[in-house]
Amino acid sequence: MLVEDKKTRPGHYLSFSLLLIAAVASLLPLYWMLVTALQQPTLTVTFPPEWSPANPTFLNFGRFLERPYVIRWTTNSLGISLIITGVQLFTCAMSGYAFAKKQFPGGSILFYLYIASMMVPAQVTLVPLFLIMSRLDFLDTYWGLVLPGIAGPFGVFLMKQFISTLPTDLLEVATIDGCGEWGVFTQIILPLAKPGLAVLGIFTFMGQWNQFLWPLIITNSSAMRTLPVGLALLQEELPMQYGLLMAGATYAAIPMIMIFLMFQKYFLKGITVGALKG
Amino acid sequence: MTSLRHFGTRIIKARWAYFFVAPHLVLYCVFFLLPVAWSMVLSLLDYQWWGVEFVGVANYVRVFADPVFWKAVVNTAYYTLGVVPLWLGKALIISALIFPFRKPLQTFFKAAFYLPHVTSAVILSMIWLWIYNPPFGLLNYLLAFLGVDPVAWLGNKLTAMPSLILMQVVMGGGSSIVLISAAMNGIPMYLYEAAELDGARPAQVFLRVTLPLLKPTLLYLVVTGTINSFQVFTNIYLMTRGGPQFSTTTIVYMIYDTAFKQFQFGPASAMAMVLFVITAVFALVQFRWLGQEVEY
Amino acid sequence: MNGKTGWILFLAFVVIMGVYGTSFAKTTITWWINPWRIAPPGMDESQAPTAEDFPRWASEEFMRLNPDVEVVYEVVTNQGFEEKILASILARRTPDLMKDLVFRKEWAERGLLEPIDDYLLEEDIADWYDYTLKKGFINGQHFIFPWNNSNNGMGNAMLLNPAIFAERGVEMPALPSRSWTFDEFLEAAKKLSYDSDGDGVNDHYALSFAASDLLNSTAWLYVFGGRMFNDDETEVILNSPEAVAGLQFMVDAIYEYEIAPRGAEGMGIYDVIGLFHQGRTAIGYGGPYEIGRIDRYVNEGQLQNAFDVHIAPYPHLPEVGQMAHHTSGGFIVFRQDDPEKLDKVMEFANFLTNFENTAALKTLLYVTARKSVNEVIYEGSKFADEISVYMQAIDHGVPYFGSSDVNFSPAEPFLQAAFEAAFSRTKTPEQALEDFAREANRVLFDR
Repeated sequence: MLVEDKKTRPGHYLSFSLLLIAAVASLLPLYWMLVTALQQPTLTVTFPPEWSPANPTFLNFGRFLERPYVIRWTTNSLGISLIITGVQLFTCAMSGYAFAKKQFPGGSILFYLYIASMMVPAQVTLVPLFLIMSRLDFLDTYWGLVLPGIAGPFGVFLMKQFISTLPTDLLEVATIDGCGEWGVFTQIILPLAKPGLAVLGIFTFMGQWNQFLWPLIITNSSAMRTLPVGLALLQEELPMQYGLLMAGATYAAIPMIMIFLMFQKYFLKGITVGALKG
Repeated sequence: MTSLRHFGTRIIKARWAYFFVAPHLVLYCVFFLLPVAWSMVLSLLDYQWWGVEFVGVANYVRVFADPVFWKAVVNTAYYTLGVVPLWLGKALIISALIFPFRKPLQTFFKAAFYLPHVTSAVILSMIWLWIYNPPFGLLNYLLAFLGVDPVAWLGNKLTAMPSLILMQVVMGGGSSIVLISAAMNGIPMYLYEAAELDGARPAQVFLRVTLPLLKPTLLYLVVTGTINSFQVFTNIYLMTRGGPQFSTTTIVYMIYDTAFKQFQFGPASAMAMVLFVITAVFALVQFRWLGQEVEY
Repeated sequence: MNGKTGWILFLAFVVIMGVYGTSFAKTTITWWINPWRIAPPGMDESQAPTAEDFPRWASEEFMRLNPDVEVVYEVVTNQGFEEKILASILARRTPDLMKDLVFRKEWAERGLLEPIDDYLLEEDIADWYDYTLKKGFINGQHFIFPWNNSNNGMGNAMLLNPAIFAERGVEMPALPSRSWTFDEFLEAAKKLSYDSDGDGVNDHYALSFAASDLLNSTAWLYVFGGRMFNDDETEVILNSPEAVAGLQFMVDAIYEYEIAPRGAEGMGIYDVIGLFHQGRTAIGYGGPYEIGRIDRYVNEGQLQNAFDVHIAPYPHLPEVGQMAHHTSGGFIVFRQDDPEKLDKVMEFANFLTNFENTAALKTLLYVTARKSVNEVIYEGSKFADEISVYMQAIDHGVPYFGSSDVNFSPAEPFLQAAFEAAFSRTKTPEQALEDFAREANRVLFDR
């Protein structure tokens, strides 16, 4: 188990094979999704299933994209995720800065409140939020989809942890130099906090893109659905058409997978920022 | 009174802090705190479109008298006890196996395990529905080679929950692996060297040195894993709808069904409060029980 | 002009504009319908209608006849229809008119719906079947404008594949009503089930069951004399010996007679339809609409070959008599505050359910709520025989899940659980129905 000795040992071959098997098991379903998506429509429901499509075709993708509202769902998901991410980044950076670098009456109590509320199951707010939205006439609207997403406590926690690690001397120097409060925030803190912001941004975006329960509840017209919800409803509508459904699944998965592969290091680092004691 | 004036001065001095905290705080209060508070109130009401009536604990009585609710509690516990240990165990073992390899290889494996985490639960559920399909699915196909008859994985009340658990364990764990690996990297080298000098074998090193030092991370993972498992919904909604015979009905699924299918908001809020209490108790208990300090 | 005159003129101007403006303000009627692909009158025969065609045409036509009215339609998917209307009621944003896919008696009782009696014409009341009006009759007033009589036929009738019947040397029940006794059915079913690849297990069956297909499954219990409710609908009595016998038959059909495939506990209606379409079962479920479904699937490329289908009622036990599910549908009007608008909305409802627009349902091969329409729309068509059989079958219609006085949906999961338990043999039929009755009585009637 030691890092020192990197010479290959029989144990290493064993652990490598085990890891490979586990990794394959982990990725197999995604591969299967791809295979089914590229399979001829009439052949998907065959037995035995084929491991690589005999005549790969994009027919399923075509039929999926032709379905009404698919493009709309995509733009809905995109727009909503971007807006929520943007607002979150901004407001959480501000709050995180205040909690990290400023002392003020009620500050610690407030922060503990934030931490405690991370433990509240999301379902507790589900019903009241729904009723509030119906009173405000935000049911089945973009407002309804966006507003609850910006209120979560996790972002504040993350930014506070991150900004705490920034050296306070810089702030003092800047203030002495005549930077106003807002200037300190925008010109010193924000640039330094970029890695933290990147992590928060990516996680928020991913989390919102994949949201299911809230969009399911708050929308009921086809035009307002987001991509995950639209997909799920498509599955209810066309239960056995696996070629088309898997094409849809692939379509929905690809953006996130691309983002992950591009921003890998942020993902892999980001989880740790929040979890390990700062 | 000077203390009040002093307090007032402190507030004015800290006005910028309040300014920075305000935007998120306002949103948080309106769209988070307020709903939580209202949830508690709702649980005491009979809320219908034609009127609202205060009913005190009647909703709670109704919830606790409902055998399906207790089934949901049992199911939720079953799911959590199935998923969390297996998932964590898998993550631990894989992290341990990954540890000796070179960085690029480590990253490759971490990415491979994390990838399913990135695709949404909806997509994974759809894929696994297809895998579990009795006549045409992948699983029964593979099992046919072992001479096993096709099983209706999601249609049989004994195999439905285990099937969901299996899916979660196979597909999940990616973020735990990343976390545990990072924590393992944080363990000072000299501890390992000291152990090796003492003649300890790798397994012993792992048990005596690595594990105890991973405790904080593991505790965090157990708590968050438990809280997340309590809230499982998407898989169930897409794959089994709480069936067969209510064997996969969990508390959250019941909340959804009661609130948004039957539009019974009072009882649903009562259930949500119960979930809240259960979650809080668990988190506290786990912290107490597992959270002893570790000494070098 | 001096200030005072100016003010008076200004005020006069405002008043005149106000009166002028409001008299020209358009009344807007919003209405919801679920996705039925009906061809509006005058549509090209060869074109396949979409779900939007009929509502769009109806809205535009009514606007043409009433230029001061704006009509906005919305096609709402079946999935989520219930949630959508319930959410709208909660938010106090109901449409003006709606297809009664969901209909709760408390809407009528609590004044959410407009009673329609003042707007019903004598000749229409005579033309509509009694039970279609009865569906919307609450506390002495009517609330539904009838339109369709039954829909896809699930729970009403069965589909028979004549090719397989011929192949297996089984005689079809005879026209004009194709009625058959249960014994005749069972005998035929045994002959229709066979093993084609010689592995000792049947792979072609007479018919199939699905636990989540509540309608067709409950139908079998009714065939044996089971009933969901007692006469005044205050108790669930599906645990009666007759119903148990019905469920026992279904279990035996799978495991003893082997005329239906295993796995019914995990199957759904689409599996049943799929098996019938692929010729794996000789008998399916549904009405003339299902004949149309086959053609549609072939056109969409989902199904290879079209095939002929005959309709027959469910078999009957002599001591019980012919059974069929009853369901009819129409339009309901939500409460209006403006009496003029109310008149317009009612006029629109009468327009949608008039002779021509009711006759439009023939695209779907539905049976309509108007006697006069049913007499003529299928005359001379190749489906005439089948539709006649179907109409005779639904003559015996009874709503299996209760009248409008009962909201059955809270009990549905328990019914499904009962079928799942029986089909998987984790409970005996008696236990399964016992448990169902107990839970259903608890959630529906607080017993």
